Amino acid sequence: MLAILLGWFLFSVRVVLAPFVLAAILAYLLNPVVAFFEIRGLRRDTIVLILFALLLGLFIWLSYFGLVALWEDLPDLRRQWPAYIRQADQVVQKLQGEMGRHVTVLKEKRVLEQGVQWIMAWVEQNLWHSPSLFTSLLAVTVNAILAPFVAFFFLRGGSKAAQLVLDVCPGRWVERFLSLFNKIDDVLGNYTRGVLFEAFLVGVFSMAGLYAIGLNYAALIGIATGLGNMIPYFGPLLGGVMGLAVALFQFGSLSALIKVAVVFLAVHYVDSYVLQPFIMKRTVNLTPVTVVFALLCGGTLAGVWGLVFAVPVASLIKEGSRIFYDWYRAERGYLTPSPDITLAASKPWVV
Amino acid sequence: MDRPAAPALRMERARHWPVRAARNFSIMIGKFFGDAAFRSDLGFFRGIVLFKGLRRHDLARLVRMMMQKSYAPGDIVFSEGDLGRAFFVVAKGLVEVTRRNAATGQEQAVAQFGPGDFFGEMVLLDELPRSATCKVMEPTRLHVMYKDHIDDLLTHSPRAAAPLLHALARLLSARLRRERRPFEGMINTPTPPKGAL
Repeated sequence: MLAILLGWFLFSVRVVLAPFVLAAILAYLLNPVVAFFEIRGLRRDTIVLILFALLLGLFIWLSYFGLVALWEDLPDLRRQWPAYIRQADQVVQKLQGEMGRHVTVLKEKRVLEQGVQWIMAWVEQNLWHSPSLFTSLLAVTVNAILAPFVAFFFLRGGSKAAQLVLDVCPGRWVERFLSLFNKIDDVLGNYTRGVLFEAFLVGVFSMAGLYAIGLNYAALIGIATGLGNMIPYFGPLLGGVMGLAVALFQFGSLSALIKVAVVFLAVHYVDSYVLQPFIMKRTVNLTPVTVVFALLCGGTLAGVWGLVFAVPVASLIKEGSRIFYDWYRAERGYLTPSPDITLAASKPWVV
Repeated sequence: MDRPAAPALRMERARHWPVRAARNFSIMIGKFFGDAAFRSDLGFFRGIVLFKGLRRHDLARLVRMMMQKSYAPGDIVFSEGDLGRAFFVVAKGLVEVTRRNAATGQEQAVAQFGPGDFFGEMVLLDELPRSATCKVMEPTRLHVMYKDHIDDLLTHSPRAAAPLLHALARLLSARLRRERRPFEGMINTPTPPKGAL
């Protein structure tokens, strides 16, 4: 009952959960570093403080160089912008001509030109002039600031939250609580590591594919694809859009666009049907069929959030059921030593 | 009483000042960054027979994963027949072990555990129902070690597994020797044939 209420509450406030989910991921990633120093006798507070000070320093250092680069490039970009627009226009005209040679109806109806105009109009109407853009940007900024802040307290607290629950837990439920708590911890930790490993592989495959077709910025697009892949299906989509844009300017030919599309379709299929089921099987101990089924159910029930949480929730349901099933068997007296051990133990012994 | 000559003492001190400075610095660093409670817990667990052979690093890994639980008098830690998933070490207080008499159905006290004692350690070897009930007799604080954490250590660190399992085996052997009646009830009982169970 309590679990259902908690689930309903979390579902109701899912909009504000993003920074907490990000913070939990960050805390899971940093926890092994803290544990490394903690078992060497250092205080947790001090380790977390030093670690976050170092990370903050790194962030400021990288931001400084990023801003300096942007500051230097912005005037240049502003000067070059009309040239880029003209170039894009030429590329579109050229592509339309190329496509028109193969399919005349595309040329007659000016499909590509109208498509590009439609996209630009949509962007103009819905994105730049929409208050939702500023809301989204604000939300991203708030999350980016809030997540490390929350992660600091998650990491500093360590298992204090679990200890608090254990303090109020009835004596006989201590072992059940520990079983559940540790399973949840294992599942979330393994899932986070699995997602990161999958993101790394998707990034590397995308990078290799783009490098093979000779696209510029292959490394940058590969990294963006890997990072984007932490949201299921989003990585290859993001990488595909970036890759197509670069290919449009670099080659300006239909064949290059098709090559980029093929690379990302291949990455998407390898990810969906090979990497994701097998990595998830190893990390959260679910069969590939269960993973695909869980993703479909999650997507249908709760969209993108459903996709993000489908696998860990499925794994938690499985592990929780197993724990309660074991307790049920123990209470009914169905758990006994294995037959070979019972047989060996029935014989006399000499010490 | 002979007093050391003052110049000689001063020279002695002067010769060792880098050593003393380094030692003082390390104490200062330890006081500022070190976790005194953790060090004290390590000392406490070092005195427990099961952990005596563990390296400091392995013991520290276990101690870091431990949790504490306070019980009031009359609380049940676990009952006979419950599935065992943790191992308990008494930090303070008193725990009484009772077993149900098969003939009368009454609970009988069979043992008591005080500070430094441990119980429920058979969970490290099998995952079967508890063989007795443990009840708290006075305000008690227990260290609780979840079985999977020890299993993780045993899986990933054979150097920790060997002394821990060896200590557990010696403990079992000592308990069997204490029984002193290994053949009782078996003298006239033929050994069941293989596959009989």
